[in-house]
Amino acid sequence: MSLVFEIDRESLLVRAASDVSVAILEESLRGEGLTLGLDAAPPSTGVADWIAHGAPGASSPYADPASHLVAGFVATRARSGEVLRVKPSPRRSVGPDLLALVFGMEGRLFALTEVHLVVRRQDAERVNEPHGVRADPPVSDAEARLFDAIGGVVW
Amino acid sequence: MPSRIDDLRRALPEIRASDDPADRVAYARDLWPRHHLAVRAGNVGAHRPGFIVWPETTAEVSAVVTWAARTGTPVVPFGAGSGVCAGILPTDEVVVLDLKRMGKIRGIDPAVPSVDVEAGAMGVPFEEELVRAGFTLGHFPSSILCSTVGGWLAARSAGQCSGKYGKIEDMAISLECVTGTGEVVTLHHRQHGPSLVPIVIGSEGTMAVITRATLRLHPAPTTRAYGAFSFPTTERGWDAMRRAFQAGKRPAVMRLYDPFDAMLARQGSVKGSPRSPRGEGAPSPLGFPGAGTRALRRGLQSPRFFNALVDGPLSIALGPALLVVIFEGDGTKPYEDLAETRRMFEALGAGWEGEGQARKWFQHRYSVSYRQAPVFAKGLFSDTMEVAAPWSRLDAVYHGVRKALGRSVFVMAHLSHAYPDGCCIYFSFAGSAAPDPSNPAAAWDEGCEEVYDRTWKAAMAAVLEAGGVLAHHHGVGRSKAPRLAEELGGVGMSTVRALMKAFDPHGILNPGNLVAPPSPDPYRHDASPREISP
Ligand SMILES: Cc1cc2nc3c(=O)[nH]c(=O)nc-3n(C[C@H](O)[C@H](O)[C@H](O)COP(=O)(O)OP(=O)(O)OC[C@H]3O[C@@H](n4cnc5c(N)ncnc54)[C@H](O)[C@@H]3O)c2cc1C
Repeated sequence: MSLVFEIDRESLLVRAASDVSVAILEESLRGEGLTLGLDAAPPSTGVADWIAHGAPGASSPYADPASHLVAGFVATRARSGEVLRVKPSPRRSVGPDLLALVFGMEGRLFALTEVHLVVRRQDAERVNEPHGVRADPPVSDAEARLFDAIGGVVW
Repeated sequence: MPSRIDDLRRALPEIRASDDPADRVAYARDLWPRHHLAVRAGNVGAHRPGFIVWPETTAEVSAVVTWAARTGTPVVPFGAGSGVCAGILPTDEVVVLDLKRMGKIRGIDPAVPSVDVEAGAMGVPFEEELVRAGFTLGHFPSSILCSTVGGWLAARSAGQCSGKYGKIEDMAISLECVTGTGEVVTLHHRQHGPSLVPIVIGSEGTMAVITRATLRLHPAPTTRAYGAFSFPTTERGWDAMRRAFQAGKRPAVMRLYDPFDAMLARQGSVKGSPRSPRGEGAPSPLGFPGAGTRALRRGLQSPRFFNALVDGPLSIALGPALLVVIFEGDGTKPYEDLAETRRMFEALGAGWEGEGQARKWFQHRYSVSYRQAPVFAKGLFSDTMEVAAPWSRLDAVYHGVRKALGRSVFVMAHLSHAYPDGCCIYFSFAGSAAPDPSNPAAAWDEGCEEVYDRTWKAAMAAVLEAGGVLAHHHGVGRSKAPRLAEELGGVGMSTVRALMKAFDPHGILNPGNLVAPPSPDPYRHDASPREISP
């Protein structure tokens, strides 16, 4: 794949190929005065793997409700190889958010091939609304059954 | 053979149910503006459900859905019916499940802070109770007087203060739902793990009935700082919005009006200002100062001319674009944020208009939405289209959609939901039936319906072509469903269908909504009076 990453400076979006290391991406962004704005050191894993594992180190979405991490993506269905494209948009109201089938799903249903991440200017004010929302409650049996049912029909 | 309602009454005698003709007519539609044309034509009850149920507990919702799955009865969840996309379009097979008797706040956790609330809670009393406890949800859709928590979640709603608090999906922590099998399941948001909360949010009644939600709260603001700015063009205004959000500013409200919308806002006629009270020089249907209905109808029959006039020779008279800003929070921070934003905007060539316009907007922030009825009463129609795109595509979307709409209706726009990476554009439009010289006796309302359909078809094609998304906060319903495949692609569509199957294997939850082709067909000709059988 020729795309490594591409910055849309006007929208502060970076379009990155799945295997670009998050650490290298962050370093390159810093060279442009931008940052992913993570709470922890960026991992060396590829962005696809990072998103598939729930983007460890990314700040809580409740800290800055008007921003988000992923604006769009391209992914292939794990079994059929068919391609799902969700174009970048700041928000949408066109049915369920299909990113949920990728984010934190460890590649069970879809494999990311490209992702549009929202970046920040390094000199931007940091928004950090305090909150006590529990980060990762355990998956209940009823939720697990639904995930299984989805795994049985989405391929 | 016993009717379905008799069967339900036998199976679940404790649940309130009605097939009274008046109730069936009352639940025959949501507020999709195309329905108003049918109603105006006298065709009020073409889409009546078989009957309505009003459960009072999650267990009752589960019992109804279990009964429906067993009997193959379609169930349409109903909040307050304020949806504007034909998400509710029953047939006489359907049981409408109205959640408004489930509207209690079950608890507030001040430590998070969060609220556990039943899905049928209506916007205003819910927010008022939160404020009494010292909190706010921060969700203020213009329809707050006539919409529910469940409806907000099901349609991915946005409130007027999204700049600080986000959209409803940014507030959800967990959802209690009843799936299409009748199973009760609580779904949790996870910061680093899998979550089905984003799947049910926006599912528009097709995957589960949302019965309860835990939503993140904020301390109720104690300070508000108001400001208004003028910009020579709409484009210069949105460039300033972009810079503010990308600099980390999070105004609760930042609304940019194009010059025509700004002229109305300044006059206050659309915003319900005391300067244009009803009665003495009452606002004309669209708020056009002094424009008579007949002239307006005639003008709207030549929308291209009207739009060209406003964009061309009239533009100087209209004045600049208007940007209204409100920061809210605690202590002096909102004032500091406004002062910094003012410095930034003035450096970009903005004019400071003081705080009056922002205060006026705030005072009348819900009144604009209730100006639609007079427009329809005058024989015209109006509607809104809210789309979104990254900043780099905004210009193409703005001009593309404006041009497409402008061929058949008069159009104006404002931008009221901004984010660091993009923005929503909210087009408002008004139209009239086009004269048909070959058929001068053609029915007026049917003519309006024809123009209405043509307008939407062209506008949806234009937004997709320009790289925007079809909807930012009104949802898809059945009205936009015919274009959803272009939005999501074939794999996206089949994935949504698969999700529906996983949640609702019997396909009983709001069937025909959010899929293409939608059913029943929302675009069938409805604006001709028909006889209503009892
Ligand atoms: C004057 C006016 C102004 C508006 N302003 C705004 C605005 O500022 N922002 C905005 O976002 N929207 C706005 N809307 C649109 C509308 O108010 C929203 O879509 C709102 O979220 C719908 O809520 P409701 O309770 O009325 O839902 P309904 O119209 O009853 O239902 C909407 C959809 O959700 C489903 N549904 C409802 N409740 C549930 C539930 N508990 N579980 C599962 N599915 C359910 C229904 O089946 C339907 O498909 C406006 C509408 C009007 C008429």
